Amino acid sequence: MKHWLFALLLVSLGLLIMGLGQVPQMREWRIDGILVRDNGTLRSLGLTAEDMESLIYRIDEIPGFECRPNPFNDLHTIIGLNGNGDKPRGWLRSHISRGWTNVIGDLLKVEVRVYDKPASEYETYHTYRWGTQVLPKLGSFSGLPLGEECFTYGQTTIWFRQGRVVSVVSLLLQGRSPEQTDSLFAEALSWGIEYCILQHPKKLGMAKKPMTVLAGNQPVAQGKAVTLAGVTVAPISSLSSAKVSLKTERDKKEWAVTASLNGRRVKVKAFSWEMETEKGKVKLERPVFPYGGELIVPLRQVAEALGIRVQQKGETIALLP
Amino acid sequence: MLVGPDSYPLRWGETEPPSADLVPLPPGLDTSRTRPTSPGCFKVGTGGFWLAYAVEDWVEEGSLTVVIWDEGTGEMLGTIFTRFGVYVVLDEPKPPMEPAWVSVLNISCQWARGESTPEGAAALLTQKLWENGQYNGGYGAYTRYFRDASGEPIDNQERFYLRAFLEDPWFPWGQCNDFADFLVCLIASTGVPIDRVRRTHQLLLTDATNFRTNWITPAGQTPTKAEWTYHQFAFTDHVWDGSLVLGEYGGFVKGMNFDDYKSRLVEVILRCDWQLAPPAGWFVPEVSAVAADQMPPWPWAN
Repeated sequence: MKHWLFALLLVSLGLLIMGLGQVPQMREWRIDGILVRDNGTLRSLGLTAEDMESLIYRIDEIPGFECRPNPFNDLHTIIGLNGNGDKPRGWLRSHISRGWTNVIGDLLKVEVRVYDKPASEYETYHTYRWGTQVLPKLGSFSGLPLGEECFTYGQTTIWFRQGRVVSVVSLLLQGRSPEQTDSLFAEALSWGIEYCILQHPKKLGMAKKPMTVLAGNQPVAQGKAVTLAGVTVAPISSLSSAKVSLKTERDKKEWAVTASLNGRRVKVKAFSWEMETEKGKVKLERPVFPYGGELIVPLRQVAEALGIRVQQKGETIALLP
Repeated sequence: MLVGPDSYPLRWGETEPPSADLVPLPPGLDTSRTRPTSPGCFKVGTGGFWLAYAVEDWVEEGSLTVVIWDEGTGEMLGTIFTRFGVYVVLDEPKPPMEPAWVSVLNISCQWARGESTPEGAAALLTQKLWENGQYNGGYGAYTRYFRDASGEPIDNQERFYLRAFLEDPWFPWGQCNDFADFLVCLIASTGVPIDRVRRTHQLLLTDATNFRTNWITPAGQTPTKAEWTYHQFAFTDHVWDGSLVLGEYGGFVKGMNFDDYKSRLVEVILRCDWQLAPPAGWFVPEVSAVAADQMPPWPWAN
């Protein structure tokens, strides 16, 4: 009996030693133009590839653009999980980088990086003043305060930081010089990413509280309404509870929603800074962008254009038809 | 390889001349389909061997068949068959591409196809990089700088994250550092000894631009006049620059005299004139196989 127990003990000890001796390996896989690499053998941010994809636009979410794999490397998206996670200390970061192109050949690239700590410990305007060929310029193209800090390069690249996250949106134009609409398009994409950061369930935007929207005293768009630099944005569908009818037109070139109420009509388009009304085009305080299959709009402006009264008290907004 | 009573492993530290492993072919082995290489027969356990043979320019893929034969019984024990890519280059790849990366050879041998001189290969690779590249407007991408023990930047070093650069969804995409370093890798991989890069200004905390260019066309962009804090290019005693052309299409910088290059690139010095950067006038970029997810945050490598 004693021998049997001793043998069992030896086997258990052997299995334990084998288990302890196994060092987890870096993992890498490719799916349809997406390369995913995970270095989290010692440390992890607890973010999955899906978590990273939720911080960026889907491959079919930007009208007029599509994801085509690079002819040299067959990739349109790189996801790096737990960079430096194979070392016991130092910076820890996950990132996603995705490229789109349109029929003209313009190239659009969006990169998002998530750190283990507030991103200001790793990336600031100051650090980017080292060794870059062109001068970064503080602020956004529109002059609005995007994220906690933002700066631009040239007329079509914009960087911002929010909580643990840094984003860079870059547009390269083929055969034409950049115009203000190109700058504002790149910035509209960035505002959408800030919304994605604030919506992320793992509190990457450092726990910003959502707004409560009431329509007929009933809460709507729960958790989906947030303020972006002081302006509340929410899914346009939150207006349906205020008896607004919505019509979506979406194809490869355009994503538009027309909202109607009592003869009034408002049309908004993805990544536009304007809405179309019967009285003409009206400039929006924040751009329209897609999230979760629908368009996010500056709530007060769109609601008021439809004749809905809007009352705000603290963190609550009431839509009063 | 032969397996037989005469086979033996080399002892540690022993060496043999290359021909020592070669023995007569066993009788009956069909070697009629092994062109263009000469069939050889090697003893087992000698720790590997080199096969060297000439190929025509058009050959892109080779194959190797290894027949394992028991010399004692005359029995064939098995065969191993493998295919491999053939890269025809001008000479043995040079640093920093020594050994050359297959992923770089895939591109350099395609872009410089048909060139038979070092100058011709370097010129065509410079042109092809510009034609295929996307200059990002001049902000940090796949290079990182070094600091000394006191935290001051070191001018004569730079780490180029080649693997990350190759995997970019917009490859070839980056600022001038990335283009200059990648051009060095392309050219060096074909056996041409162009391994150096130069900057127009030393590394500083940027607070103003140093010069404005004449009309140039950066890779993938429309003609422009740019204001830069510095510029980086491949450099021997001449300049090779795949990130831009002078003026419009056709003004390639392929082995251009340094003074001509400067006078044609610079419209006006806005602050500091060009200087030797690094002080030695050049450095060889350090090439890294680290992927983008493992690259440290901008701007430091250490």
